[in-house]
Amino acid sequence: MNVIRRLWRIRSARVGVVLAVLLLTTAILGPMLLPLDPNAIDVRARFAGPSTAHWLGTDDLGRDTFTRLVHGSRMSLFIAALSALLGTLLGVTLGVITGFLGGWVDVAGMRVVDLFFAIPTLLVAIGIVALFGPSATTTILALGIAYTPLYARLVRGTVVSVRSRTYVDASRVLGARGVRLLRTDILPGIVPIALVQTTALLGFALVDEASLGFLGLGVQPPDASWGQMINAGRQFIFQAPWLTLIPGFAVILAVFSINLIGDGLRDALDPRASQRVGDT
Amino acid sequence: MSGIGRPLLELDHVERMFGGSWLGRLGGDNVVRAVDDVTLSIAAGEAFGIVGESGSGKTTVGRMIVRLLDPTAGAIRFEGQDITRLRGGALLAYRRSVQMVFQNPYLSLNPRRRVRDMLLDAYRIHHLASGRDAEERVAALMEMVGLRRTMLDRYPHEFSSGQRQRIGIARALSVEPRLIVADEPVSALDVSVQAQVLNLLRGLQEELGLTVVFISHDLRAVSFLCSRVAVLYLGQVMEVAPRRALVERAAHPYTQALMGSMPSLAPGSGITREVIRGDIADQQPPPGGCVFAPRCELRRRLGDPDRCLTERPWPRELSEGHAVACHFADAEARPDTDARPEATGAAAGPTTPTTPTMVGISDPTRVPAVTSTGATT
Ligand SMILES: Nc1ncnc2c1ncn2[C@@H]1O[C@H](COP(=O)(O)OP(=O)(O)OP(=O)(O)O)[C@@H](O)[C@H]1O
Ligand code: SF4
Ligand SMILES: [Mg+2]
Repeated sequence: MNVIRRLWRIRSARVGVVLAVLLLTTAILGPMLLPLDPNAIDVRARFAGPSTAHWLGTDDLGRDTFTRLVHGSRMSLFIAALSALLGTLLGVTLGVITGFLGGWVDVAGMRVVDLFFAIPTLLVAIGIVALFGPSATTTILALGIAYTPLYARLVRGTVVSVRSRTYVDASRVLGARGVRLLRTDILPGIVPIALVQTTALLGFALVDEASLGFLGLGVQPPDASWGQMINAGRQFIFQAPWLTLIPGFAVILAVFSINLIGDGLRDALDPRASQRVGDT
Repeated sequence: MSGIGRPLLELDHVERMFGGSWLGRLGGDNVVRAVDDVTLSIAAGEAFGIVGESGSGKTTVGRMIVRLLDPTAGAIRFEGQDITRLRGGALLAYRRSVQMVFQNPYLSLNPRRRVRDMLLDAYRIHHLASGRDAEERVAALMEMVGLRRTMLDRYPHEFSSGQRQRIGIARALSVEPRLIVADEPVSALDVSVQAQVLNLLRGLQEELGLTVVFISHDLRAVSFLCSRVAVLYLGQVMEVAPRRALVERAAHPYTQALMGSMPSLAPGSGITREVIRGDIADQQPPPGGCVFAPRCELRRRLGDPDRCLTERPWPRELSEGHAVACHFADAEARPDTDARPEATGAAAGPTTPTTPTMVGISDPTRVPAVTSTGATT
């Protein structure tokens, strides 16, 4: 696709893509390659500093921080990806239905969205976790649902504006309507905005997973995720600050990479840029 | 040329208001009567023109004919059947009969779709053809509008404005309609290709026996293409006449002013131009009177008769197929060239607060030259 080529031409986006590929490879292959068990407790090696045996030291139970970080990356990225995906699916569906159908469906749908919209995202997520109990699955559900209102609103607005374009009128005069009209004229018009928004959600989800984890409402021990590691290290912040700083840094790195890609996508999808380079 | 056969399309006291919802009024919105009691009858096979300044309601009329908008009152009949309430299958069938060519081919073609897909739409929607058959038809359409079939795989941005409008025309033709509404089909095009596209439309109209409703603010383009013309002003029909009658004996003072600002057709010299005082939106027309009264030269010359302000002039027939909505049109049935210096003098007089403005007729360099139909640009 042309967008990818344009994205690659933007230097900062290239950095982001390289970082993301590194992170993904680590998350997917890392756990298979590392020799240590992330949950293996070794009380004799508690709070050990960096060494050849433990590259990034150990935690309060003597578990290897690096191993846990790599295993945790798999969990964190998995949660971020699935909650962004869930938010996208729900948001796009709701936004397209309300925006395309209009009328009372639109009014009712947007009322509900507004209601949710008034509550901060994380609070919605915390409420959902409180309902179902903390776990990786609830984290995904909670974040996905919490992201839906904003996404739905964005998509609805775009659909409403695309719906009134002249080429949509032209298709209507030809007799196109309903699903066909959505497929040929309306959905392709919202793809650019959805791409940018989903990328942004990935970044939010990484941070929010860490926040939920920090509050002890995310992934539960002994499973590792970045958020869970931050929460576990919190009690020893003065004794062994690396236990929180290292997973914190991992979150920052991942978010940074995603933001670079997101900004790049925004530029690559800019209609003015596409006028110059030629649209897909 | 007027009145061939029975009417294919009839507009019967059609009205369209905007901003009339109680919510809009609550918010202080004005109600706009974009189309105000328009009655027209268009014969099969005829090229019918609708002219008027910006905001006169031309597009609104066109969009109602193709059912992109519904009238707020009145009926639109196609082959005798009121189409304003068609739904489902009946509406789909109507869409096969009536198509539209849009003003701006940069906006009317989806930038993300190939020409082939856009042209295949019609066959898919109406199950007219598929596979090789559909491919052949699409290629034939391209050739019909003077494009090559090898261009089918391109995206809109790879075409010039004239070529894009040809694609727009091909798409309109894809369902083999009886009637095409062409809403200012050349005004957004490069000047150099306007004549070619007009020629193409005229050629297709004659070749395929199409009925064309040609909408334009350019009286010259309309008289080039159309056998009959309706002049619209603030949503009302001022005059309907066969082209010849309109050119030779325009009866309505508004039409006369439009003609006067069109040097190539105006009798007498090309230098003197009749001016219409004020802008279309400048003065509120008197309720119940003639909408044109605030800008009417004839009324001024007649000494501002009250009737213009108190009684709406309904269209009345002057001769076969020639109707005019003016109480005093017969008083001066011809544009009076001699009266112009006087008119200009009056324009400068102290009684006129607004500065004279030319009606929006493009400059004389844009006279469409009749050249070959086929050439692409
Ligand atoms: N969707 C709408 N909502 C509110 N007002 C509208 C709408 N569409 C048209 N109008 C108003 O109706 C009037 C007629 O508009 P219309 O577009 O039909 O004029 P037009 O003759 O096609 O003008 P132009 O030459 O500028 O295309 C204008 O006053 C316009 O502001
Ligand atoms: S009715 Fe009166 S104001 Fe209207 S066009 Fe005729 S002369 Fe002018
Ligand atoms: Mg218009």
